[in-house]
Amino acid sequence: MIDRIKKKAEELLRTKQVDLIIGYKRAPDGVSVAPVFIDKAEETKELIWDTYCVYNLSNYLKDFRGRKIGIIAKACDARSIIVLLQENQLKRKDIFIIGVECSGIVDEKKLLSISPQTSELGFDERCRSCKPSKPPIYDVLIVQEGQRPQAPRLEKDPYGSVRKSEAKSISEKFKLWQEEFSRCIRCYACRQICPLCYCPRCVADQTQPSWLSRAHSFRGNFTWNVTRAMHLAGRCIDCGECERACPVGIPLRDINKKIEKDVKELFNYEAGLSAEQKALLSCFDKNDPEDFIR
Amino acid sequence: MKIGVFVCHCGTNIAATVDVERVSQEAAKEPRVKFSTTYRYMCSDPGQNLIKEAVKKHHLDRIVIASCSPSLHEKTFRKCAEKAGVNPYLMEMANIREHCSWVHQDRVEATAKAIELIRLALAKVSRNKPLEYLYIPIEKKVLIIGGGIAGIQSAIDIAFANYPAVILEREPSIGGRMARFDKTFPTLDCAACILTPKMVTVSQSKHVTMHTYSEIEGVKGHVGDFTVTIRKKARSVDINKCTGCGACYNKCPVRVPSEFDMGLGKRTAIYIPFPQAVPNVPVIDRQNCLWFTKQKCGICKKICPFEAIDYDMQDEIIEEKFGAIIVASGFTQFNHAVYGEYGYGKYKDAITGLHFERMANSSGPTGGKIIRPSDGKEARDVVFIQCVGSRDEQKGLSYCSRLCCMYTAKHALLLKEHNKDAQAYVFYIDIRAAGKNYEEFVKKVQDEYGAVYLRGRVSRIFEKSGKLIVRGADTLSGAQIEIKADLVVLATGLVAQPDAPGLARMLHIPYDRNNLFTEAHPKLAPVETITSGVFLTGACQSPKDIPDTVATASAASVKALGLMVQDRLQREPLVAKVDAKTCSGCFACIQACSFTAIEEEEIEDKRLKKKRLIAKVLEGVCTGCGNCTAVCRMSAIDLEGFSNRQIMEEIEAL
Amino acid sequence: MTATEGSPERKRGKDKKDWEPRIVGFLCKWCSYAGADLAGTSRLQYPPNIRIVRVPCSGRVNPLFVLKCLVNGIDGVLVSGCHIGDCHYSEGNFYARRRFVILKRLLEYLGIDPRRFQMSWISASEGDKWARVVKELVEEIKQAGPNTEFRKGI
Repeated sequence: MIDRIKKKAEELLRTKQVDLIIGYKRAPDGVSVAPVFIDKAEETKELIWDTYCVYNLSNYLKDFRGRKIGIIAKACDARSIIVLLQENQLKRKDIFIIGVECSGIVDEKKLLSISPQTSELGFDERCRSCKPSKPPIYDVLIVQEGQRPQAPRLEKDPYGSVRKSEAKSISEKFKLWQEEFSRCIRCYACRQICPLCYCPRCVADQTQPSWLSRAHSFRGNFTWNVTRAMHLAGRCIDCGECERACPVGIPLRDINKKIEKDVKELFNYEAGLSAEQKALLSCFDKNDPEDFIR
Repeated sequence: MKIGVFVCHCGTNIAATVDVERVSQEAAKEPRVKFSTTYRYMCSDPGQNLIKEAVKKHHLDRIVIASCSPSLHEKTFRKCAEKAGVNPYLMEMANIREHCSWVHQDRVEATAKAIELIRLALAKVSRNKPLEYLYIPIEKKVLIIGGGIAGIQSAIDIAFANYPAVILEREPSIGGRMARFDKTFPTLDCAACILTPKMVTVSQSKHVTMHTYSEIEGVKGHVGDFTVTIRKKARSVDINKCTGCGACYNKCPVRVPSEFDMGLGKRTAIYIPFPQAVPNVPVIDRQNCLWFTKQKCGICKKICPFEAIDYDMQDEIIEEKFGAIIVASGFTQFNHAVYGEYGYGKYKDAITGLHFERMANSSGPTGGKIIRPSDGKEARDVVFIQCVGSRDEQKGLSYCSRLCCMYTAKHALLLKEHNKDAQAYVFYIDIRAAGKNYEEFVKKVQDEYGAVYLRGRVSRIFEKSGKLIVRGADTLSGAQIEIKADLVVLATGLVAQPDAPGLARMLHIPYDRNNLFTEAHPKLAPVETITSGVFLTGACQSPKDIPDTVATASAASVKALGLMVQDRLQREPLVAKVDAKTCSGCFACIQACSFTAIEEEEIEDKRLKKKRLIAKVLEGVCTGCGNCTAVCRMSAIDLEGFSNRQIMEEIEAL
Repeated sequence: MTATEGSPERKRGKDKKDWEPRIVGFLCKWCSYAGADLAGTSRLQYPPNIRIVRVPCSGRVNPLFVLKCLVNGIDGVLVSGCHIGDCHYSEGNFYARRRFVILKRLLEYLGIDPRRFQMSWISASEGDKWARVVKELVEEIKQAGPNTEFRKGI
């Protein structure tokens, strides 16, 4: 598989179809993976592809706007490319998507304790409920050959854990999140790593008005985390980067999943499936639920 | 910043519950407040003078008026501020009457609340920006959608004021429903006799342009500057060459049911809908013309002395600009197919009122004879059934169609006039004859023309030995009634045109659950809509008879002319604004704008040293709803007058 | 007792018996604000706990406004607009409805008492409904208790 990826990347650069390839390379530690930006055909040798390729490279696309970019994209990553296209942050003609078939990636944090290839537990939780193995958008698709370890399927309901949390009492929920958010150090790593957080000036940085308290307080942390989540409503494609980047381990995906679930159940809307789709909050249905309104 | 606070007693309306003096003293302690006072009636001339003098004396640059609802006096006090030399948008109101003194009785509580409401207004006004009125130019031309009596009257009024009007009519001729009527109640004027001169006036006016056989395809823009796309359907006859001699339709071999005559008569494939049609230019019905269906015939083209027939004519799409739009799109008949018990469609001799009109007309398909369509014999016993569709929430309409009582009475009278031996029976629920000389007319029909009025519903109609047996109840006598009728006439209600919602969406005007267009205010703005520059007349807004229709047509014309006579239009500057630096160009706002008031704009981004697209608000189109501001994740788009800073400042002051 | 002492604001933080809920209503100026005006014109009485922020349309209300109120310690927030189909701007309330169902559910998920954030449709002719909604809201929020979740500390 990697040979075909390399070959395609090499060809794209050599024939000047793209100016740059964004892919994965082995990190110096010899195990984990780092993003790599290649503009010379011969350097494509460096590219790798395996279950350690956790990062959503589409986050880097916005840094190269206006240039022709080849990008290696898993199914989840490709969905964020769709959202970026939908929101006019990219031009389709500027990107060449090397879609890769994926059977799940590892969870780096879990790997600290367990051996990857042998144990099911090594897989990222979100891969266990990921439906497509092929990206919904690509220019060339590199399919898998032979058998590879497959992330074991989760129970039928991908929102099982959200539902479990929903069932808790209000005070339990508050206590839980109070604890989680109180750890937030407002480093905004969740924002920086998110491929869909591209605002030129984030509301968190605005002062006129000051939307949220910059102080390291529960008030401010709560506002930030709700704001981040609301701004991803109907957009988040669950690439998991925010949670991976969070240095204090706030379960951000859980919040994202909660909204994803509501949006799917209430509006039958899923993010990142078509670039022609209207933004969730910029459209409506006459029959949207309103049983919560007096 | 020097803010003045002016607390109104409103006589005792506020002062009885709120300790206004104390409120004023407390307000004076607030930061940035330089002056605070109370007055008995702040909106009165002396009250306004007090404000002006205070502004002058204390060099106030912002004003808070604590009084009634801004819905009532915001304009008053903005003007007052302006006269006092303060930008009108540096004035805010604290509603201490409707939201305070009138809804609370406890003086202590109400006073405390009033102080807080003022604090809120102070917070907001401290973040207000001086704003300048917007001015937009006005295209001096009025579009009238619909060429019935409503549209015709509007066109005449506008032309009379020497402004150009354009009538858009989808049928080949103007005239609308009224052209089909025989006589009009209660005066029994012949409809054609009073309508035709108006049609001619329109056609001869140098100020009126007619686009007949044309449909509206799209509307862009806003008051003063609407761009309307019109599809001029291919008439297949050159309107400039045709003289209306009639040679073509006299020789056309095709006969199909005439829509104008409700299918009671026939027309040719090249036809004018009725003899007085305006323009008097035929149209080819391509569905039925032999040339178009079988590539045969071609007689009309051969015979036309003016070479006006053009089989290759295509639909033409034109774009025109207008400053105002009058919607006169009219109504259609209720589809009474739901009333199986009335036998319409099943029995040829069960017809609607409009069929009756055509029969009663001496130039109509029966030459003025009231006949049974089944056998052509003259009808003697005729049963009229009122409220077919109207006032029936189960199967039909919730509303009263207003005219059916009157046109049924007229039909009963015409029946007798056309046939001395005839007898009319009218089933009704209530007689609604509220109009000048209407009640008298109904009484005359009963007393002098012997129409029998039966209060009750018809339960069933069936055919028996060539007659229609009408069974019903007379609820006044409690008797079951059975009438052997020659003819049954259904007084079907009036409903909105089926494509009314589409038109409403094009024009951004609301419509109700009956698809009738909604006026801006049911009492005080009955011909306006919430979209400025779009006005309503006639039955597209609610069922109306001819006098009401004509009255609303003239009313709508005056409203449109009110715009036409202005050099430019002043608008409130409460519109959205984009901060170019903050905008990412995701265009969530464009998608969420109901008024297409936001466009893409290319800018040179100095930081990125690149051109990029951002959002741009069309000030003239923006209605100031602010929806865009709430869908903008980066808050790059903000609303003047209700800005993020203003509202957040209010929240912080709470 | 002076007027200032009587204000609910001054009571905040005192023992629970004295506590009076503070509620903010974001009201669209065409329907709900006019409905509240009508309640006044009709002299309908309701508790003085609500403060109204006038907005052109419920569609104008940014979820961040609601959030700001809550973290500032406001006990209850109401967003009120025209009934569906009545929106002066034809569609603003549709957008608001969609936006706020997500926020409402999210806040509840994070442990914010659902009574603290509510929505209503109140038309310009529903002065009685306005008075009723305020009464009910005040009662419900009294039961929910003061919003102390965001007090200083942690």
